Amino acid sequence: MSKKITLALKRGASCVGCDVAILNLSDNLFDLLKVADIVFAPTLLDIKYKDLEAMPDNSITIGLYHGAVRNSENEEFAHIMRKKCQILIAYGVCAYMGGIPGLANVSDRDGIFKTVYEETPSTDNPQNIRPKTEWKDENGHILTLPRFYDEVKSLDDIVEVDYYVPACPPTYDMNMEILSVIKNFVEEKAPLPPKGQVFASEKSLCDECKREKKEEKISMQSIRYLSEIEPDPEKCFLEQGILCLGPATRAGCGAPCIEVNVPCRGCMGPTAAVADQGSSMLSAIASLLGATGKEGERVKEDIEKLVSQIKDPLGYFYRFSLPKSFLRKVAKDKEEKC
Amino acid sequence: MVTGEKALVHRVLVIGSGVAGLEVARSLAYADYEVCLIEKEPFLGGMVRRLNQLYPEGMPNSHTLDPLVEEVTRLGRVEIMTDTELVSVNGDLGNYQVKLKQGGKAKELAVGALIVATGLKEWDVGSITPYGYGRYERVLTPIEFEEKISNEEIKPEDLKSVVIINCAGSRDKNYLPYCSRVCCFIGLKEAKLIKDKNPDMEVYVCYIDMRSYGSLDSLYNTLKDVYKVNFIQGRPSKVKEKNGNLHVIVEDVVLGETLDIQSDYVVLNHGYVGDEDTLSKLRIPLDSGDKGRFPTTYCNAALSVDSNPRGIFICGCAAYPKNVAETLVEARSAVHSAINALRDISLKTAVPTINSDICAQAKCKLCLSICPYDAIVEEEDKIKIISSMCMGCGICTATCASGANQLEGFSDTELYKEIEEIVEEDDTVAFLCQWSAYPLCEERERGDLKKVKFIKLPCSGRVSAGLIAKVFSYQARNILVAGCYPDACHYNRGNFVARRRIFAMKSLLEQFGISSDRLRMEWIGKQEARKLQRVLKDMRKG
Repeated sequence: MSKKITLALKRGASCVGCDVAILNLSDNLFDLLKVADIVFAPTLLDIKYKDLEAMPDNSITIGLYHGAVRNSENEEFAHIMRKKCQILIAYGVCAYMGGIPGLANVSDRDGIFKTVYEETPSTDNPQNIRPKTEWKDENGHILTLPRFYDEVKSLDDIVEVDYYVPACPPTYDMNMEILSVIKNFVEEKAPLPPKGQVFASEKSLCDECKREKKEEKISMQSIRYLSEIEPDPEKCFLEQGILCLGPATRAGCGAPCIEVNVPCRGCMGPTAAVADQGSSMLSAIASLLGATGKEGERVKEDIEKLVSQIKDPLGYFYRFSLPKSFLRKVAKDKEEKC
Repeated sequence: MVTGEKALVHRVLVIGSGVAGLEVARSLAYADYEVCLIEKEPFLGGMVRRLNQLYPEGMPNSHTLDPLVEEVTRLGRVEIMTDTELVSVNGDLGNYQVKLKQGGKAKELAVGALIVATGLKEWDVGSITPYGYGRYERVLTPIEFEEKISNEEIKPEDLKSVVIINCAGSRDKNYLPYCSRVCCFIGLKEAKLIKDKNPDMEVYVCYIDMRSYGSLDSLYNTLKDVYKVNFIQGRPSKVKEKNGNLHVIVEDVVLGETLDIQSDYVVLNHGYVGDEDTLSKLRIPLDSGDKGRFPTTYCNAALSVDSNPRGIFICGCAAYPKNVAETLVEARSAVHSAINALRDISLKTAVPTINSDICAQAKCKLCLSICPYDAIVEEEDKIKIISSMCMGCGICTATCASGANQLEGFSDTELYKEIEEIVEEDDTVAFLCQWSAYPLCEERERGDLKKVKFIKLPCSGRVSAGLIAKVFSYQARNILVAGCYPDACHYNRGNFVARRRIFAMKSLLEQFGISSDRLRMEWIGKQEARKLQRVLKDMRKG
């Protein structure tokens, strides 16, 4: 057998779900360990940041970075990981597109601090204390905290990324697939896929959905929410007027949410043909919603009422991809000018 | 899509051998096309064969029909197949595979184009219970009435009174909600027919509005003033039989009186329906709404497209009821269009392609649900665009959420590239429909508008939320989307789809902290260069 490779695992702004997803390989982890030594994984091993920094550049074969880039520490380690790893993988949708932490981009640093340290009903902060990046105690010790950024970024906003693994978190099957790619590479059975590849299906999620379309055409006269109805578990969500991001989302997860009667929320990101997942789905829904072919009599108010059924389009359609949205760029540039 | 390399089939299938089908066959044969003329009945002639006389002059049907039948039969280039029905059609303009059934036998045929001349059918007037059709022997349809006169079962000389009820079931939301166009004339023709034979009898025509349009209105005046036909404005409520006589109960809305008219015969001048069966095999949609029985909307849209991309042309009463003169004109026009379409197939409208590596094999069905032409179908678990039916509007491309559906020439990649190249900071970007507003933005019309960038779309229905977002990401000041006025969309409903997307987009913009006023949708007609300028000037203000 050829030489073992080395693996590093680093998290950014993450819920640690991605670490758990890797541990969820369970006894397959031994297969992984046969071909790879895990040299850095603070969640799993007793190891410090300085240990990573001390490793020679390019000494780690594959680095998995999960979580978004929220603060200066995340950014710093994105650079370090890039330097130390030959191959860097954005693992999970947060590293890939910003994920749930990316939703914070509707606000900025000041806005978020104001909410968290001032406005929430449970906040008790009479002195209006805010986090500082540096603090000197009486003995002259300097303590530092990472700088909180105005916006959340994805990993490839910071450094070059070789591969992407979407999903929140990547599923067992997806991990097994990556494991086999790694094994084949180490055992020299197959080369690595072309750079930039997303480790998932090329098709849209509907491909993996087992639900049926009961009608020949979808007619969406009104929108229903899970809080209002118990969906028919057999029937396509869109046919039931329930917003499901399946058509705008990449397949590869096996549609587990849909299996438990929850519509797709889009954590696999868009297909390769779509640059902006949220607007793509919004366009599709608005196309179908209330379509009758005879709409000449509708006035502005009728249409406003119709589309107002789509509650919180930003949160719903950009749930995992806000930092990658076209429109976020507009808002951001405006702020920078101010 | 058929490419230039594929050989064209120089043969046209004509469905239906009424006046329209015969005229089509005749004209095509003279233009050196091979013609296959199919007729489901055992004889040629369609509806006109069944009519005794044609309006307005009461000319016998043979004057129109016989020379046509004679010529078509004599020409030799027309293969006539009676007792033959269409089973299915596959393929594209230039190369259609047609399955037929002649008698019990199946037949297959390759043709370049199809001309649909399936005509109309009488609507079943028996469904109006109070009029007693089927219950009373002497309540007849116009054709039955004419047939009985022609074989002398009815002798007008012996009659005292006849009531003709116009709009029997027509313009009535319970039966046929539309006007069948020809019935008023049929009523007038029959009144004249019997009055000519027996000037002393009383003829009553009950009507809602007299729609004797054009020069034929003189027939109405002649019948009223010279023939002394009694025209009663009112829709009869009931026909009943008393002591062997028929009685028509009608409120004359002019006099404000309810009349009880005794009558020997009652003619129910009903409306007409299209040949739904054949039209559905050709995937030609009928008018929206469950009561639509003709493909009027579809035909109007198809007519306005210079080269009908389908290669399936409709003429005569198959589109909607019309008289013989109108039918002949339309038949010739269909021939002209078919020849043009077959002549230069490369001019065919571009159609979307479906990337099957991305498309979820017919499982999402968004594109299929939105297409105004039913041009997208599911075939063997795959989404397929029937390019011959597609008009190239791009509504489906802007609806496809997976990016698999891309309209050639107006794909996301092409439009994003255009935006990248032309849009600069603080620009006003106008997405214009190619049929209405785009032709207005030529150099001379632009005036002194600076910082305005125009992007051509096949239809406002191609505008997607993604295009709007992309433009704003290049720091444009504001965006105009201009579509045709309501119900004037070239593609039937593209402007409505666009409007819903724009309104949905406005609420999304607000969430991004971008004022929704920066996105504007306007109806701009083909002649409204000034409106376009005014709107754009307004958007450049401040």
